[in-house]
Amino acid sequence: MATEPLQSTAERTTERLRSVLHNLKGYAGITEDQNNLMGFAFIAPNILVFSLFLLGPVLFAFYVSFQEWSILAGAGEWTGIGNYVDVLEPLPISYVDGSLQWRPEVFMDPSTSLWWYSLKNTFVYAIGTVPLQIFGGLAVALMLDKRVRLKKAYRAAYFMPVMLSGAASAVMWRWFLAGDGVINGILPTFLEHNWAGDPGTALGGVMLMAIWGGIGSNMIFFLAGLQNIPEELYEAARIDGASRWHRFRHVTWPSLGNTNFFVFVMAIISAFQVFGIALVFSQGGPVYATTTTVLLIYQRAFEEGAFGEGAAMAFLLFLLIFAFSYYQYRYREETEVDY
Amino acid sequence: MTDDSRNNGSTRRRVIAGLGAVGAAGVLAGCTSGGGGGQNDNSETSGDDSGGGQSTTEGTPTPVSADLTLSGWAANNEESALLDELVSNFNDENDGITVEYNAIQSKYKQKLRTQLGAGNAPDVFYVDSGYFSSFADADVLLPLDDLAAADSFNTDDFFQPLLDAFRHDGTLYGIPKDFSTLGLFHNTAMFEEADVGVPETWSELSDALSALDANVSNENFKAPMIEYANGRAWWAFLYQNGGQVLSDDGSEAVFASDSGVEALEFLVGLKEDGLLAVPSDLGSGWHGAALASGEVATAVLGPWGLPFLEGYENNPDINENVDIAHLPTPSDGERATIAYTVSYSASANTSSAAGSKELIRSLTSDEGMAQWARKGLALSARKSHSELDYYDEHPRRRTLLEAGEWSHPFSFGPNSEAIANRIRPQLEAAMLGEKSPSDALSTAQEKINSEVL
Repeated sequence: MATEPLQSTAERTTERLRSVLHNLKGYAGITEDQNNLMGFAFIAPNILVFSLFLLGPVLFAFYVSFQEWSILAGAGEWTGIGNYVDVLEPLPISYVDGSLQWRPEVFMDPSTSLWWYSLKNTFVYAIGTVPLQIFGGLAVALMLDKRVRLKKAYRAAYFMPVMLSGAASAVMWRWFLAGDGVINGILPTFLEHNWAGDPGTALGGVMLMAIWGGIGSNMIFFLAGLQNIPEELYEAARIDGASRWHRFRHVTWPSLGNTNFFVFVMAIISAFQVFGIALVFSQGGPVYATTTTVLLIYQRAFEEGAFGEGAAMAFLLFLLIFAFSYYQYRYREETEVDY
Repeated sequence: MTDDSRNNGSTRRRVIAGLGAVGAAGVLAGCTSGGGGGQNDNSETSGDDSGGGQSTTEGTPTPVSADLTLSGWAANNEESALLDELVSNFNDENDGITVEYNAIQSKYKQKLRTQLGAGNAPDVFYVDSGYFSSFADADVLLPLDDLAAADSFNTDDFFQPLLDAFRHDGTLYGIPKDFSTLGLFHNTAMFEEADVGVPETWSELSDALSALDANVSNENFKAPMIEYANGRAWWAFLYQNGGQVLSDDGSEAVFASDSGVEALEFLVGLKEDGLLAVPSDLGSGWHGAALASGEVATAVLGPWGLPFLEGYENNPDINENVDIAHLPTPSDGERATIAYTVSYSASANTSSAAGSKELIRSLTSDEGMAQWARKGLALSARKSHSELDYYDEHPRRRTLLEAGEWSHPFSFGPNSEAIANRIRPQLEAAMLGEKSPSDALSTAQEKINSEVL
């Protein structure tokens, strides 16, 4: 009698496992009778390297994020969610007098919480750079997709920043934007300013650099996308009397859907991960003005040796990027148009 | 296992000859202390070594056989060539020991730390005083007290602040390889033009800078003095004014004291009066370049600025015009400067404690250190070397060397980097006028006391 419920529990578990497996196969596009051995064999080398050098370290970092980890001792002490609490406190939303209160000052003062401040810097950076990188790239691609004299030279010129190392561009832009720099040489005297050395404008300098670099790389993707739009669509539109704007709005733009999606997701991800140019341009300064989230992670983990806290920050950032990418993906699925 | 290791310990560790019994004791210690044993057993060995076991590091050298690796960063090609030469001389003179020099080219601290954690660190390596304590605190370094105790080594000759920088809980884990202090670099031609003498006090300094500002005619001249936006000179001014970064027992940050605030107010005052420019105001990114190009007349800088001035081809005269004085002090203050120093230390996991110590002894001995110092990038950590002919020919370096006596190493215990990372942006906030000096320092102090210590 006593074993009966146990048995049925076991059966139910097995049943549930089967259905999960079935669903998983469904997600992966595998039908029950399919023989996937060959496929797995082909991707095995990649999976192996990926697991060893990417997935492994990522899982390990997750483990480290719950510890006070000493890399010198190669061991740590469990702190539970202590690192996450340390990073997130004080929360920008707090429960005071029976109601939730929004505390924007948490984002504004680096001495209150460097995490939220760096996140604010990163958002400002993303909002300021992503649209300009994308629409700038698209505009340049549209211009250089036509018959233009010296088209190739222009394309090469716009692509040049992409080929430069981030560190080299950062050093260059620091010179441009210094008190004694080229930019001030061009500007009228009353606008002259130490752009790189002022906490109010330094992040703008980093953003300018990112836009300058981002336009070139997005241009390449948009150029490739434009080549893929069948000429017949334009022809048909012209016959229907569509104006230039209408041709762009109803032919070019929807046909670039895939490119847009790719470029947008990549731009968001790389904006959230901005690190190298901020490090070289200003080491996160002046006064934390260019301390982005990844730069803060680097300082905590690799400069100060607080690997647990650094790992916790890295996972919080991952969650954020994941959420953005996921919703972008879902949104696209809903709005996708097939021709 | 104990019996086996009594016989095999020597070959297994490649150490020994004459340390057999001690080796076994080391292995025993390793067994009892579990996981950390690998790191401890050699230090146990060395402990017995100095305790007058069968051999000592003094007197007739014990035949040691070992294959060692030595790592450091290479500041320049000349320096790594010299280290190669020193190592090859060492190999010739020491029959049983073979040393291989492997420079780590970039991200030295990060790589070394990873290697130490993974247990495959070099045997002997450079350790900067800035992160020394975090290494010593994690028990990854070999104690070197017995090496220092040897009469022939003469540790009294070392500048004591530098030696102290490599002590942790009373144990010495590193011998200073060299050091750099900050001094007052100044352009004598500009000082003459402005008719001012070398300032010895803070008020003389601000007077001199005002005079320079008014009178220097050099067309490149932009400001009397350069300092980083994060006010590096403040650290020296703090000590001069009787302040400290941490309390004596290291448990509390105390730099936001009146002395600290006053020191920062002095520096910020110079900036507000337009007497001091930060690199982003100028065309030059650092002090050496700003001095060389004539953009500024003064800078608080270390000996690493000298090779740049000596080799500055755009204006070869500049080198003769730049002299170095000790930092000006408050009128009732004390002499003090910051020292940046680097040690030779050995891994607690070294394959041969005796061999590693022998290598460190050789590199930091009277002669080894003198050869190194003659390269001129950093200063000899031995006081008696101020008598070297080399320093007769390089009086500017002698000035910086003398300051070793009253120097304070840039090191604040196991959390040095976290502490410096929280202070610097606040100094910057004060220098750039975003916060008052006392606000800035209190914020940093509060952060450090609540988050770090």
